[in-house]
Amino acid sequence: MTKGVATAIELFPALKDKCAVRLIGRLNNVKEQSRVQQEKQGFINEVVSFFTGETRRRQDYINKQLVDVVEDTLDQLTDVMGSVALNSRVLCMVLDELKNLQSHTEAIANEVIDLRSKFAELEDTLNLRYSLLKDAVEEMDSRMKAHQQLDMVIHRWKSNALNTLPCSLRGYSVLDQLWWGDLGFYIQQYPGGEADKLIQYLHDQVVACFANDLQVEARTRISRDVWMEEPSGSVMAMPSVIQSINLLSDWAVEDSAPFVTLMCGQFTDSQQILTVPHLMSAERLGRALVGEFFVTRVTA
Amino acid sequence: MKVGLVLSGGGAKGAYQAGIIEAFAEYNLEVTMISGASIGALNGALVSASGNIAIAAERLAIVWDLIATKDILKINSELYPRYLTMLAAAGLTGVGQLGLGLLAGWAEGSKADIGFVDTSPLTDVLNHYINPQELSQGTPLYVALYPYRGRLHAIKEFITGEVMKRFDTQNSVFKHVQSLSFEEQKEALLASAAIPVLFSPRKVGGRLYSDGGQGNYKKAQGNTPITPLLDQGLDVILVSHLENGSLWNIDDFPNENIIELRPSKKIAEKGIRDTLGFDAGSITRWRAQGKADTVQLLEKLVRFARNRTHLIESRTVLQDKVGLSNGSLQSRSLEQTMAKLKKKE
Repeated sequence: MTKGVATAIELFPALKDKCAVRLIGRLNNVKEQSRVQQEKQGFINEVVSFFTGETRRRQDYINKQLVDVVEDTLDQLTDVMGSVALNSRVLCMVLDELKNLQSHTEAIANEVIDLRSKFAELEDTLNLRYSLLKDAVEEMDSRMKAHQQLDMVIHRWKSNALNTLPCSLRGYSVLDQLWWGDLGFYIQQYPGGEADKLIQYLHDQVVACFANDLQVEARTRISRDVWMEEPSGSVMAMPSVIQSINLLSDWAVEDSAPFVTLMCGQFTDSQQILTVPHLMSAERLGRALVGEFFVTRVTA
Repeated sequence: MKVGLVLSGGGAKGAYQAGIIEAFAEYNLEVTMISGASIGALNGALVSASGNIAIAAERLAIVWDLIATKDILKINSELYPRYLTMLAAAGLTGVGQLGLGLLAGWAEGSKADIGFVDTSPLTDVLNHYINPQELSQGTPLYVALYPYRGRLHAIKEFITGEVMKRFDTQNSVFKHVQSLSFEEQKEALLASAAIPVLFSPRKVGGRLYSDGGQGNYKKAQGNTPITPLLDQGLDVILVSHLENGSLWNIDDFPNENIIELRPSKKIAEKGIRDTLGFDAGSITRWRAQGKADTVQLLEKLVRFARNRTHLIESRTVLQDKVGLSNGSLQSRSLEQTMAKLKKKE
């Protein structure tokens, strides 16, 4: 847009504004007449003016124009004061609303803080629940594996895989394997209800296997020697087997694990383990061995 | 926007009006109707024939530059004795000058109404720069003419009106230039500028007329010829004055929106010598003053009007908004929501 067009846009409304034209025009006229009045000084000018009446006319003109200017200015001032008053009133309203909004903001902020703490509580609760759930799932998983291992190992015993060992050592071997496997892990990690059930189940299986191996009833008492008797094709003659058994059973002491101590040949014939009966049933032996492996050893 | 322009008489001081038109051109302020007297009629004719304000400003600049360099006034050689008397009169100031000149002219005894100054250089300028075709189709122009009734009558009216300033004298008449034939247009323009004695009266419509600025000296009815522009539905009338402290009274026209362009500094100190002072220095000075005074006044007006408009608009908007809110800025929906929130607690 050129300067001419831009200023015409501003000028036209100004020229049409009668109030503005009146005030500015009259002010300009008064200035010019006052200047001329001042410049027309001197005796001759004053005498001439006296006769022609020019000075009086000019002064009347100046006075009239000044009154008009003052009146118009008063009108404008009144307008401006009205605007200022309106602005002040609106400002008060704005301030009131601002205070109201501040109060609401405070309430909302408090609400947010409250919500935030509740969220934190909820998070803690959820984390705890999740943790418990995770533990439960892990326990269940571990228990299933323990069960699976137990069934697998017992199945192997029942399949005569251990027939090269003396009867008592078969039990020892199974229990030792179970101790170092999933069942042992489960019993140690999750002692209590389900573990006790598994131990009881193990006991029942071991007793049944013992009884089955000797073809006797579970409560039939058999001599200790029979339990320790080496079968044909026994591997007990192999020094490595004996060494392995000794090494693996080095945890067993007479006081806490007499049966294991005896099974693993830790004593010479001259030594007597008073706590191991000479006659014992499959049930007795099974209970003792399971107890020494999975009760006494765990609590030790 | 309909803008009227009144161009007062004042001889060489008409260069001030060239400055006014220059300022108008900067604002792109087109003029709808013009009324002029004496030099104002000649300037008005240039503006009217130009078609638009920018061209008008250019032509006025060219013409006044020419006037500044060329002798626009030539003495009629057969009137030399009168010339000597006029020269004596030039040594006086103000009233004494023209009065003695007129009296001397009359006293020389010649009854011929031949002007002292030969207007042929002026006529040449008019012929060259004012195309009658363009003038006929141009902005409506009115010129002030004073019925000529002889030198004695002119002198009497001059003394009672201009000198004594106490009596109303005969009014000027106004001619609509576009209603005249081409020849009469030129005669009317020259008649309007025909200072009695100095210039010959001209015939328009079968009657002799001289300087339109003579009409009713006391009220400057002829020299500030606003009459033809009254009641024409103009949005604003801009009135230019070429003398110090003109007593033309704006309050005589209460129904019109008028703004006067008055010189902010002394425009004339030497009376007739300023009126006939077509010299480069004065012309340049008057042109510059005309433009500066106009720009200053219009800028002041624009600033004031702009701020006033903004004040009124913003107050209206604010009142509407305050009115809508019934004295409170509270949001009902927000208050309801906050109430629900607090209830939950």
